[in-house]
Amino acid sequence: MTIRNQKDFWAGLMFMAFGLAFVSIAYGTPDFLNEMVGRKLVPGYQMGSPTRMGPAYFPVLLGTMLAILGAIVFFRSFVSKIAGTASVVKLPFNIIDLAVVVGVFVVLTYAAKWMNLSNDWAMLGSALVISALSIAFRPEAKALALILASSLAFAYLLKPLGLVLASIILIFISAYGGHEFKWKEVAILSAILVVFSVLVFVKGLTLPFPICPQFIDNCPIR
Amino acid sequence: MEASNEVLSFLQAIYVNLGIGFKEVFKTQPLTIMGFALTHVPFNILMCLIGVMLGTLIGVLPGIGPVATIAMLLPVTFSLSPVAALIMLAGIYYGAQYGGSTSAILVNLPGESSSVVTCLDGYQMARRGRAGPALATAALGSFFAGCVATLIVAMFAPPLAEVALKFGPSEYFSLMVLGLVSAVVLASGSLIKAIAMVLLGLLLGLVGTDVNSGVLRFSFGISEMADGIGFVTVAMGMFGIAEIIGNLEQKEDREVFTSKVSHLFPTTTDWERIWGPTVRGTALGSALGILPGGGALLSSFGAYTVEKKVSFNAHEFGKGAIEGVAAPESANNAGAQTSFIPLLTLGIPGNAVMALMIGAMMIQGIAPGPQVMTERKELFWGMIASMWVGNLMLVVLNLPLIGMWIKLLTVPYRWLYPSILLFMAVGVFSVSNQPFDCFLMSLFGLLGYVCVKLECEPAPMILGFILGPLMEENLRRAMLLSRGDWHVFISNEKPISQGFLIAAAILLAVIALPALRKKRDVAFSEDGSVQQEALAAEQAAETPKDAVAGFEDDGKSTQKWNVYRGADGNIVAVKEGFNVWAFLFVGFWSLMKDLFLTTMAWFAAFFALMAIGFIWQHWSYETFGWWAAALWLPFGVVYGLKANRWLMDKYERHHYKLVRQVTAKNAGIAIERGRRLAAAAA
Repeated sequence: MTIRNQKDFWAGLMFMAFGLAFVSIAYGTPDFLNEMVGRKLVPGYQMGSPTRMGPAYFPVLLGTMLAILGAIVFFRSFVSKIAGTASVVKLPFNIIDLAVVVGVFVVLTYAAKWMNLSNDWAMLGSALVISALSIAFRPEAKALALILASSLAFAYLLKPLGLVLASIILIFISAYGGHEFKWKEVAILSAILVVFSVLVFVKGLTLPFPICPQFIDNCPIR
Repeated sequence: MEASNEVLSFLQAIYVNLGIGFKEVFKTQPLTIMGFALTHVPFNILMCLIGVMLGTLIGVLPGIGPVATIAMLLPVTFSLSPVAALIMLAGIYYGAQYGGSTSAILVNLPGESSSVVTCLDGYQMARRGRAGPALATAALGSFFAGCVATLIVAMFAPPLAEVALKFGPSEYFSLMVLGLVSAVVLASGSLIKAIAMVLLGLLLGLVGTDVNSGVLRFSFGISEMADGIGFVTVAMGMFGIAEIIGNLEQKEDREVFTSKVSHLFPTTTDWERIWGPTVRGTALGSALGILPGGGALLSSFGAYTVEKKVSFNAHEFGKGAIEGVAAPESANNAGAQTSFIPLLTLGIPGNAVMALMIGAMMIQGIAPGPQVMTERKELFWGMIASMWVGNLMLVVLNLPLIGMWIKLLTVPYRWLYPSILLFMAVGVFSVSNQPFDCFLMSLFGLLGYVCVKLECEPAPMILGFILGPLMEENLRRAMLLSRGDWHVFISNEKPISQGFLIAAAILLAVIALPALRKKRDVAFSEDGSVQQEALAAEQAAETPKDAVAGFEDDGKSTQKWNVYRGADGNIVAVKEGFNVWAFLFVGFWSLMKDLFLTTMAWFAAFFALMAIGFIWQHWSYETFGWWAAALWLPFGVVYGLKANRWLMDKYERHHYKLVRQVTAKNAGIAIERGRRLAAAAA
């Protein structure tokens, strides 16, 4: 058996994974698995009857359909006639990289819990680690990693550091993910955008964002 | 008698309601900006202006579309009144259709996916130094289409909403199934994958607290997920972030067309060539926009294809035919506007932008549906009036400001995307003031990026996402009412629900046919380059073939054809005798043949006579059909008899010369024989 259409292969796997995940969370894990572990792994929600549908009814229905369609797409990838360049998936990372990324998040979340730190720091740390890993080992995924990391950094730094610094950090990280990175240009761009966003978002639209970092008592911008 | 009064009162109601709408749009209110207290600020019209300018801006800039922009601005609309918010967001959508043509014509880059076909002829016109007329044609065509489509929304939405008020849960459920199926059918690529994406969207929409039981579903114990995943978060991730990452992977090369844009106004010949395509594009766009899953993109492709079939100058397409700009540009604007009809009357979004509009309405505490029209009159009619005003603003502002938009095109993407990213992050963060939403946005960005790489379209997923909770709710209610009987959706007692489901089944069955699928793959692929290549290939295939047998006179056919040859070598054939098509379709036939006077004469005469009939109150809806037929017939006879003469006159006016009269079975053979005779004579 050779995979003739990689796109269908991975798409089918993805759909099956999503479908089965939704079904198993909604319905709960099957009995034989529970017996093997000795306790209910996932409790699940109530199914209800067609007349009075419980919270699990619709998701189980949809999830089953999704898993079946995923299976069709998956098996179709072995008999597909569209072989060749059109069916090759051009992703800058592979499934192991994805597992590593998830692993970083999980490890750092537990580390933060162990050290009694807020989960925000785990998120920031994961973003940092993943960006560093991608720059070092997967340069073709640099844009992807840095764009995602920059929005994470912005979100988790906004409250402690304030809008001004968080925006500058987002702009610098995301600009570094692009094709060419010029210090001067990015500095000017971030200056303009910071002024704009303070004026429009905080002053104009009165969004409740802190402007200055928490550790500065007297904020010069009001 | 009474029925005709109904017609009059219906028109009167529209008139009165439009009055309410315009009053709402031009309403002034006190406003405080940064400490300055102002009285009498026409706030709604200001929002309309901001919306259309913003729409044009993002339409001009490739790499950011109306979906991401509207998603970005949704949190901003918190602080606005519902009318102002919806007016602004609507302005962005149709404004983007105007702006998209500018970059298509000047840079050969579609600023909007719906302007992909405009590149074909628009850019060629620009290369020949006719960028000005091309831009003007796009703007004026869009304006005409916008006005007509607004009228159509005003005419058709109220009766549709009245029907929709009678819908029960089973009808709603079936309608949503139909909507999702059409979204799947109109999506590009694999059918199964599109259905799977819809299912995935529906499932993701269910995340959060279950309304009926209060159970937290799929929340993984995360408190931020209790309210479900925000629509803005999903839309920004799947469209915004994924698009930025995708753009960054390609090398940046953008060359702005350097020639100066001069002679903006179209010449007399241009006018003669663009009125027909504009009217046809508007009609087609309006029809396709109403379909669930339709909208601007589908309309522009449909219009271009139709125009290439019927145009007098079909041989010029792809080489800078002005028709190829007028038709898709008017169609996409008409489609963008009529796609508001299902949203406003049924509360069901036809495309991703409309799904966002539903989000905006929900933020404002308005439940979308047919009751909006009766309960929030000023909202509905204000929005319609604003569309008209917005279109006027666009055409007035855009033509003089073209220089500014061209300048904008030279802004490099490396400055643009950090700004877009910042605005998106601010927008998502402000929805609930929690960093977790930004994390989710990144997650969906990754998912969107992977989906694009795996050729799974995000658009159907977004539709599913917004419809998920609605569908579950209606399914539950319908099943409760029917006591668990699944037949409730297809039973004869519910003909509307039955009809929707049958239509959905037919759509799916039809699209599964191999022949149609191939066409759909070519026409609706969202990747612009693929579309352009496909269209170019089609054009290449249509160039005349040589040496086909069977063009000799077999002496059997008696049908006479007049073969004409144009100054540019184009050869056409006109039949002698009675024209059945003209007899049957009268004014519509003239419209398809670009015969201005006869089209106008027929439409004016026909509608004037109808109006007289209604006003004298001798006609009613019941007898309407007979009167219309009686009116149609005499026109048909005259048009059938004269049609071919008019066509020949038109060709002679355009300096076509009569080559010869031939007898042939059909037009194709006649043209081929004419071509050979002309070649032999030369």
